[in-house]
Amino acid sequence: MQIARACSQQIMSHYLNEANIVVVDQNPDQLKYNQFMAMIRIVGEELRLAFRAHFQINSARQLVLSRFGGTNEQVTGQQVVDAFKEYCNETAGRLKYILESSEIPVGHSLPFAVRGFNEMIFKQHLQVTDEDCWTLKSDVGQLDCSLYLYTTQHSVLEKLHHLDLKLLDSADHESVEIF
Amino acid sequence: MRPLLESSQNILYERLSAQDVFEALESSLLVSESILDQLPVIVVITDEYSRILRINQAGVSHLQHDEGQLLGKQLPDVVKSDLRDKMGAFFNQGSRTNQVSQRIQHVIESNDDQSQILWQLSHIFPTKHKGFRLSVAVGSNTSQLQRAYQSKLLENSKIAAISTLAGGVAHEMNNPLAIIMGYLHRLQQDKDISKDSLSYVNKIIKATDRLVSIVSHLNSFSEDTSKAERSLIDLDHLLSRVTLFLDKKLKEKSIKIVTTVEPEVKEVLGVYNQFVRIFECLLSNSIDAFDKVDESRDKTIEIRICKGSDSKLRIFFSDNGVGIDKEILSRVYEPFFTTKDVGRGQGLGLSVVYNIIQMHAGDISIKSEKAQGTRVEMSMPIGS
Repeated sequence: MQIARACSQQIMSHYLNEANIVVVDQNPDQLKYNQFMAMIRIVGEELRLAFRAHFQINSARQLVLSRFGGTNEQVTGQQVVDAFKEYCNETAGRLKYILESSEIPVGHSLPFAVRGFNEMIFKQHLQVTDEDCWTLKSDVGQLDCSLYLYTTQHSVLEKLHHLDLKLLDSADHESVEIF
Repeated sequence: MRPLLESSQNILYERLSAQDVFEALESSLLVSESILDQLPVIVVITDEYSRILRINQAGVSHLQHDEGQLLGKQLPDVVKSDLRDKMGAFFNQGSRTNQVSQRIQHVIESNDDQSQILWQLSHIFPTKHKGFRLSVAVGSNTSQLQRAYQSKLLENSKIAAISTLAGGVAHEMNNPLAIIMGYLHRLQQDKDISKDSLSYVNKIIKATDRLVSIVSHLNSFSEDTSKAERSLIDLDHLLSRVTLFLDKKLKEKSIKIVTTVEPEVKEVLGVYNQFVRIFECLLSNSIDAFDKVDESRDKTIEIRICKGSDSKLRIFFSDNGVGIDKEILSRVYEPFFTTKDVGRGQGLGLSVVYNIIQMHAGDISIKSEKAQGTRVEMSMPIGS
């Protein structure tokens, strides 16, 4: 799911002041060994998506530091978890914009965070048509991401795999930052 | 416009409701996480490959690694080397079985220089989630528990030995004392006895009375409460009787007594004389504790009896007397140990109280601050 990878990369790039972020494939079996998982659901009439960010507090702290304007030591573990919930929120918002621009109306849930190994349990409850798992790598840290898609419409699947990535540029211009 | 506004409002309400549910769920998970991290035992959750999924704070401290560094590692690889084979064998056994809803427990010990950890390993095969298996390893540090247990055992053995000795001595002394007192009373009633001799006899009787009192205390110390007759005791009434008995001394020293007996423990099953002895001893000690206190100071003894959250009888006894030195505090239960002047006490009172409490399957603790006062806390099963 290129569009999901691109959205997550774009948002993280903003967090790191446009630093270079590389997207690499990740083995889904490794996700459960992360310390925490933040997640959000994107749901429409024709599809359901679950986007998740999997991270270790100490190695991921640097990724979200810009959100707080403080030093590494001042940002608590709970604040890091909250920051990744917000990251999921923003990524979902970006995906929503792109999907709606492609005539796939959706809404997204509130973000939620739990211990990382719960990924095994939550996954049991998902119906999955397609899934993707990747890692965003930067100089200061990395983040595992996963996306699960469920749809009964083959046409929707086709549409998702061929979404126009140029929409990402207009998404950037359209987005409103709220401080 | 109206339908549009209404549907927007509905969406807003639904989102707010969902937010409430999410926040409640997150708080609930946070509490569970906190409880796990507060546990004094090591808790490790692994997958079917023995790779660590979750480890609590006690586990992180024991293994001396950051949690992030431990997640994903195989548990047998991060524990002490003498455990690896045994743990590895346990996990291999689990991976071969296909049973669901089963707990296989395996207990192994690890010894190193600083701690003795007892590990309990369990495989859990959740029936609802057929896609995966979990294992839980719980490690408890038994060396601290063992040391505390051994110390308590030693203390109890000492008291038990002295108790047996005391009983034997008291038994042997009873007969000769009875003979002595008998002849002394005969001499007292002799009309031909001189005035000087009578005064000597009276002094001997007074001294022998003291001996009888010591033997009586020794008997109490060695008494087996389990054989004594138990009855329903009205604690309010008992306290009134005991304080009345010591009323003269309390008034002489202007000591105020405040007693509170909660309604749910007004009547308890026990040995009446034993309870009298407990309060007599504690009150006597407190009265003596005010000897060296400034006359102008307000002197109060507080006694509170209630039912604890564990349904046990709780007795709180405190005074604002002279207090007990820290060095002496550890010896207060020792038979014949006393800091009182000669003739003021045999040093058996608290030993007797300790013995009575132990025989009622109870606990006693004493806290004291010099010049602040002393607080005695006792607990025992109601109906013991």
